[in-house]
Amino acid sequence: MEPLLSIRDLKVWFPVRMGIVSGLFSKAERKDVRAVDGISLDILPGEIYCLVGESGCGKTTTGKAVLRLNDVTAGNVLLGTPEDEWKRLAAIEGRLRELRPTLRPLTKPQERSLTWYWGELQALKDSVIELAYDWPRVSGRLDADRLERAVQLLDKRVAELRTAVDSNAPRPLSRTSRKVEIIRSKGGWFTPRRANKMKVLETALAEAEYRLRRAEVTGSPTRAENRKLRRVRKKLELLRRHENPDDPQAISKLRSLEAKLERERRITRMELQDAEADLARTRERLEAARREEAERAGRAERAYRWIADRMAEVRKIGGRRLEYWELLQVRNEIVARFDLAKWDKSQLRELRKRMQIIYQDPYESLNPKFSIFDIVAEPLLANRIVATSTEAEAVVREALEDVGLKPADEYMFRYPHELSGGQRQRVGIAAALVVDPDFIVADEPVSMLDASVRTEILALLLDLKKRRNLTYLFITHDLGLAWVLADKVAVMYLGKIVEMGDGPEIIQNPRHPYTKALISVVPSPNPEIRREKTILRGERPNAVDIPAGCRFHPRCPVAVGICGWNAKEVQEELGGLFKRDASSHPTAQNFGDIVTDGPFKLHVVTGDGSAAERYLRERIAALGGERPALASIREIRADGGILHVGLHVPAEPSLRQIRENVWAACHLVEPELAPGAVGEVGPLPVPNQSLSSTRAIAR
Amino acid sequence: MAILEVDHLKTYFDTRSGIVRAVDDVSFKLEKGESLGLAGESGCGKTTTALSVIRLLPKNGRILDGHIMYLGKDLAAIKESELRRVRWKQISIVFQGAMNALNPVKRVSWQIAEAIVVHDHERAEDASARVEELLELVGINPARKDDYPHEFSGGMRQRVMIAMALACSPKVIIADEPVTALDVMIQAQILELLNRLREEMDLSMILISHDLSVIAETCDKVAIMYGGKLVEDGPAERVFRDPQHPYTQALIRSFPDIYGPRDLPPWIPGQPPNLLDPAPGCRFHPRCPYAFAPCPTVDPPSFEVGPGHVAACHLRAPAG
Repeated sequence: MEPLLSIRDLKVWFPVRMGIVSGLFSKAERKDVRAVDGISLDILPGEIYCLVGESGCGKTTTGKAVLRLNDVTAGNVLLGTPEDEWKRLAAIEGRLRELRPTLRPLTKPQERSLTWYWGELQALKDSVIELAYDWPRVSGRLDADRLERAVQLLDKRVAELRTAVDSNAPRPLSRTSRKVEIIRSKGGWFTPRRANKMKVLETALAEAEYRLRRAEVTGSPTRAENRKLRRVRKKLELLRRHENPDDPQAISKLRSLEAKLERERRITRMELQDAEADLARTRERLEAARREEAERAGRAERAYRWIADRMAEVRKIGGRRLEYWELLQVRNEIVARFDLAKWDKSQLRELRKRMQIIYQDPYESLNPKFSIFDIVAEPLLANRIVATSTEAEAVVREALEDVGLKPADEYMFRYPHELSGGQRQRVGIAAALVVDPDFIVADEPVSMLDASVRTEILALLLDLKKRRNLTYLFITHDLGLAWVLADKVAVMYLGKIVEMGDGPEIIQNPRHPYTKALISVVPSPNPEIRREKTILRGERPNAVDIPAGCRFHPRCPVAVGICGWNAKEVQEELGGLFKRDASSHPTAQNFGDIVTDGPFKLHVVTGDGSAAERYLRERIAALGGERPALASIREIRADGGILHVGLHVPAEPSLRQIRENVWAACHLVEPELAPGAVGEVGPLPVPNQSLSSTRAIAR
Repeated sequence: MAILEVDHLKTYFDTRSGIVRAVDDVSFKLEKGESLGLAGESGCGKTTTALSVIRLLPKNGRILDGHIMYLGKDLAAIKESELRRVRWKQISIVFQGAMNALNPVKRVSWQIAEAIVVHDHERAEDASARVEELLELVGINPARKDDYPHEFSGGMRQRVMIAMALACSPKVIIADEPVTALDVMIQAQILELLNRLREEMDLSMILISHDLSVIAETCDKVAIMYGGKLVEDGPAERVFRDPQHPYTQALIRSFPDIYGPRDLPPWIPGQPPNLLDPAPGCRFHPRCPYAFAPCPTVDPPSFEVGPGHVAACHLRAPAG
């Protein structure tokens, strides 16, 4: 099934505000709070997708970004991608994922010339297509289709004129012939206008007679009808008095009209000649245009084939690198069409009717100066679903009853402070659902409510989901709720998803150390369940300075050497080690300054290099297991009195598929599936140059 | 011997619309070194009970009746000047909402020292060593003592509130919703800290929370309040395993449990009673599925349902 909403590599960064003065004088680069730092997930229609994590992990920011209540820094949010497009996209993404690990980077000049050449060819191909098929538009000439239409029209006109000439009939639609006809039948007094008036009066008379008859049959008063009939009859009488077909006056009039008719017939014959000439000329032009088009198509075909050959050559040279690049273009084109991250204001108006949000705090999110009616009617009026408040009333009433505020009239004109917390949240839900959306972001909708009403509201949300076919992105910090609600769960830490997939599976069988710790500390009301808690030390790091490697490693209870320790952390660790060892290990006393050199290198000043190296190796072997920062030391090289220490250069763990419907981002979690079946949901790298920009560079 | 004994406490508020019976005839005991959980929905009188104990009620609140016995003294009856010697030095409180309970324009060190200066009559300079000691105790780097509250995270502010409560080495500490609005991980850290402090300093603690699972995991005894009354009181193990009052049963059931079945827990239909003019009889009877004849008219007394376990429900009346 294709997802209703699909998030791809979504990033929301907020710039850290700097004062003007410090901004001017400090050389510090611009810093960002990386609230959401590249997450990808697919939400199927009808699902409850729970986004869980501690405060500040980016769950609410994600929810708001999906609705475009936050600006999206990068990434895509696809809404309602049709099935075939989705399949194409999935196929392309699969191929891209396949290609990515096999790519050998090209040298810079190679890549530049290749992409330039490719861009040129693409541009050529486009212009060939344009010239071949849009030639008339480009040249300003009429194309064969239009000429053919002209020929048809001319044909018809010629035929008309010819019938008129052949039968010696008056010119089609001639007023003169009509005048003759009227005078012949009614007499010289009548003009077409007077004849028309008479016709109208005759119809009116028939109508008046009918009305009178109807009135008589139905027994209703006939006075008005009688009067009308008399009036019409009188007017008609006045006209009829002039009727006189044998009017001698008419004969002279007729004679001059006949002469006029004869003149007109002559003109018709001339017109026929002109039209025939026009037709012949247009036919010739049509032939020419057809010939030209065929020729042009042939030339375009040859050009196209030549370009295709060149492209094939380039493709051969570019190989997978180019295929990858090209597929990315196609993917981005598809994505751009359904990406609501790039929609403008008017499109967002439409979006509000499809996606809505339920806010966390019903005590804060309802305007205290608005009545319940105003609150629920506002989305209707703002989105111009109804024009006036009166129209909104029926809709609001239904929405309120739908969320269990029955009878609606009792609540409609009260104010939020008169309602309990649960009732207020019902109002918030009614306001979200009144525009009849199909996707709801529920941002901690019950966290401010008492336990006894909490489940009541959840039951309402579930009931509405069933009745209205809703899909929820449910944001919560409460894993207990996720346990009972979620079809799917994504656990976030510091702007990234660390584990996601099937809800019950993840909560019962967490694999990522962070998820494990989080679940272990959830309190249970059942006193029989007392288990080991993994309480993480400290608090989450600032989202401005996200740790290198795995962002969870500084707090991770099972971290190892490769998890992302940097020189600063190892510096501290070594300092502590030397201090502790000072009494037991004589060598430890000889260490001097520890200096960091870049993020993953250190220099340690010591007396005897080789002895120090031996000591350090020994200590790492002994302590590496419990002190992962020490285990991150990859190489030690003694150089006289200085010890050069190199660290593992960490890689951020990507979200890997562990088993069906479970993904985790941890170096220590190994896939439980056969190696071939494992996919990566990692964000696909965004190409640094789009096609158009390459072309721009080429020029 | 109980260190703190609340006996038939009645605390009412005078409001423009009438008298609000926030705490109506509540009795419980706190043994030395014990932790008591006070649970219930919002507006059930938990916080008012706590504030009554150290008489920090707002101006319109008054203790109408009852005794609060602390080591032989009745805190409800003694003079304010005498009470000051008990307040903070003997019984202290961690106020609700650590986010807002700290003064945003004063340094953290000053706010902790203030309690020491006021109650122990020490000079501020002398208090500084004690401040550092306290911060260390609650797990905050003492180097940060001169920071302002906004520079601290929610969890750290809660730690500061705890440090403040411990400033004068009290015997009893009342923690009013200490973990509400905190993340589960920070919640676990704070609860662990409170438990550790309780053991190390031999404290007795009253933990007020609306979250039964928190109380289930931290407290020895639990008292459930509903509509200003105590409906059930007993050892936590017993109460959670075998709740006797229908309200307690329903409340426990309404919490989702990640170790339980994957069903939406049942809720308690209806609204909590209005304490402005409570109806006679059991306050829970309009929402109680087992309500029967005497419930709407007779206020149920507390019946003993087990060792140290009482429940105020007519259903639990001994036969005969």
